[in-house]
Amino acid sequence: MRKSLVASLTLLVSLLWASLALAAEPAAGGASAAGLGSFFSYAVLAAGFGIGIAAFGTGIGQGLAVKSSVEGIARNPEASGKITVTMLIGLAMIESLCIYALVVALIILYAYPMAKPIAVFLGFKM
Amino acid sequence: MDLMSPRHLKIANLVVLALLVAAAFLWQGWEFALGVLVGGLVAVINFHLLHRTLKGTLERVGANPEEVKGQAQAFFAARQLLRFAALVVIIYLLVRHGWVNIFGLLVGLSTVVITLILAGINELLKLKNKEANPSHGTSHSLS
Repeated sequence: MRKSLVASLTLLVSLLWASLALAAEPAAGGASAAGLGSFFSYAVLAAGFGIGIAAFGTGIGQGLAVKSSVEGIARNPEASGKITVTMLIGLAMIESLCIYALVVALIILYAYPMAKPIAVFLGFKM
Repeated sequence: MDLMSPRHLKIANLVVLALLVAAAFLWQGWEFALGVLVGGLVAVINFHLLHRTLKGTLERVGANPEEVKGQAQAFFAARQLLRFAALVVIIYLLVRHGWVNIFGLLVGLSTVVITLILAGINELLKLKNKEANPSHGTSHSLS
């Protein structure tokens, strides 16, 4: 309980610091440059946190699946065929979630379809 | 046909991929279909390599559990990391340079998931049939 409270508070403080750092835009660039800068900063942050959280969940999920499967095979080696297939299916399903998060993070970073409309909205000529 | 075997799952993956590419070509044209094809091939090859890694690891563990435990762990971790790094590089290049349609790529990457869901539904229907008629049905139980 105490550990999870400390972890939650740490995450909260990290996010607050990140938002403060992102809010400190240089004034010389004008309002639209600041808006675009903060938009892309938040996009980078979202991509980083997105893939980080996905990898965290995938790691835990795959670790638990492999642990249970290996324990099952050690107890009953004859069932290794069925356990392997079930684990293969489970791991593929879990891993696909992380691959989706990776693709979405890369889309946010490199191929975000709304980047041009947002830049035009903020007054940039594209 | 027992879909719940690695060989049949791999064949089913290719069949689903072919159907998806054909549907994508008819629905959105060749650019979208190319995205589906590339994403699907990435997913299918990834599934194949995952199977090989698991098979290799469990064969090492099964031979002599205590002696090769660390060796099997290192083998699994190294293969997993290599596979995922290769996947990241391929998807990065595809997305960064815009070589294929992004949404087609996402649909293609879902090939394995779609196949597994279809295989699951198939097994569920077999179980239902088995409950209705105990002399037929799947060899797998729900528990």
